[in-house]
Order: sequence, then C-alpha cells, then structure tokens
Amino acid sequence: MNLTKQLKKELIVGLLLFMIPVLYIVTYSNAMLTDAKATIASIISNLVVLVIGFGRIYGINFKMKLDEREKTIVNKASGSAAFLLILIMFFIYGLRDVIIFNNHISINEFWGFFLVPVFLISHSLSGLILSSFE
Amino acid sequence: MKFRYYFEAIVGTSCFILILIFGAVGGASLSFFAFLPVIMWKKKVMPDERELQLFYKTGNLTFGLQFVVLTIIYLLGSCNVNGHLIASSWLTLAISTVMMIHGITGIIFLKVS
Repeated sequence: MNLTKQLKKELIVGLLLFMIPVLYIVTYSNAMLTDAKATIASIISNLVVLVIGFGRIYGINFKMKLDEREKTIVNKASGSAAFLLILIMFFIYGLRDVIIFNNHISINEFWGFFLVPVFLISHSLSGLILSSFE
Repeated sequence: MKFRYYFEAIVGTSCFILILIFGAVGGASLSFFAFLPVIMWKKKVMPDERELQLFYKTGNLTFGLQFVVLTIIYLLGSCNVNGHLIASSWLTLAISTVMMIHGITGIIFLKVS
C-alpha cells in the first residue's frame, strides 16, 4: 500500500531528525562549541528539522494522491497523533527542571528542538497502527 | 457537534486570554473543559457519519496547526506578557490554543460543507 510505505518513510525520517538535536545538545553540553558557533549550529539544526519535517507533513497531507479509505486513515491518525503529542507534552512538562547533560541545561530549555521529530514519529506510528487494523 | 466546536472555541479563547493576563494561575480555567463530556452526555449528542468524517478532518488540520503553534510558543518562550514569562506556562498555553484551533476549524468545516 502506498500510504504504509509513506508512513514507514515518515517514521525513519522522524527517527533520523531526532538525532540532530541530540547531537547538537551533546556537543554543546560538553562545551565543544563557543557561543557564536553554538548559535549557528542551533539555527542550522532547527532549520533542517523544520524544513524536512514540514515537507513530510505537507507531502503526506496535501501532495499525495490517496483514495477515500487512505484519506480517512490519515485523518484519523492525525487526531490520535495530536492526542499522543499532548500526552508527551505533559510528560516533558513534568520533567522540565531535570538536568540531563553536564552543562546545567534543563529539559525546559530544549524541548522545542524535539517538536518536529516527535510529531513525525507519533503521526507515523499512529498511522501504521490504524492502517494495520483497517 | 456544533455545540462541541463552539464550546471548544469559546473556552479555548478565554483560557488563552486568561493565561496571558494572569500567567500560570490562568491555566486553572482549563478545568472548564471537564464540563464538555458531561454536557455531551446529558444532551445525548451522537455524531452521524458526515459529522464524524468532519471531526477527523478537523483533527488533521489541528495537528498541522498545532505544530506551527508549538514552534511559535517555543520561539517566544523568553517574552514577557503582562509580567508573566511565556516559558513558565507553555503547556497550558499550548493546550488552550490547540482547543481553540480545533473549535474554530470545526465551525468553519461545518459551515463550508
């Protein structure tokens, strides 16, 4: 099925994009970057994640030719993904003051870096689960 | 379903305004959403097939816009509105905005189709 292939692609893209902010935070927290370099690296990593992530969301919702059944699955998947995302946000909010890395960076400072990857992963996972049921 | 969308839009908008005015304390107004399932149950609202499809469509659009809203909230995290830092109440702001968007898009979809 065309949609399943696209959703699997979305999941892989989401997992790969998840690595970009992780790499940035690990490098930054180990004080390997100066402030100017860190700002540039932050802008580039954010832009890459935003452009690729938005491209995937736009592509799967508006560009793809889907039949009626696949359209219903995408619509249903988006609803459950939105719910899943709110649950993840509650989890992140609960851990907002936790410090993971060396450089006293709390989760509250970098949660936005993971927005797009988490979006893609939750959307593709709920889509794959729903399409396996229907 | 019309009632549901209007409820979400009105309560979402008022929550958003209250959070901007009172900060994290305004987030308590989100509790008004707890009345929605009770009212739906009392009014015995049962969506038909068309309304259900519109509901899924609304969810899809909300999902796309949620992404934009969360990015904006994250970027404006260090801004002070009325003496309250946005970063301190980002979760309640995000949820109220999502509910507001869901309500407004639902009303538009119901009117258009």
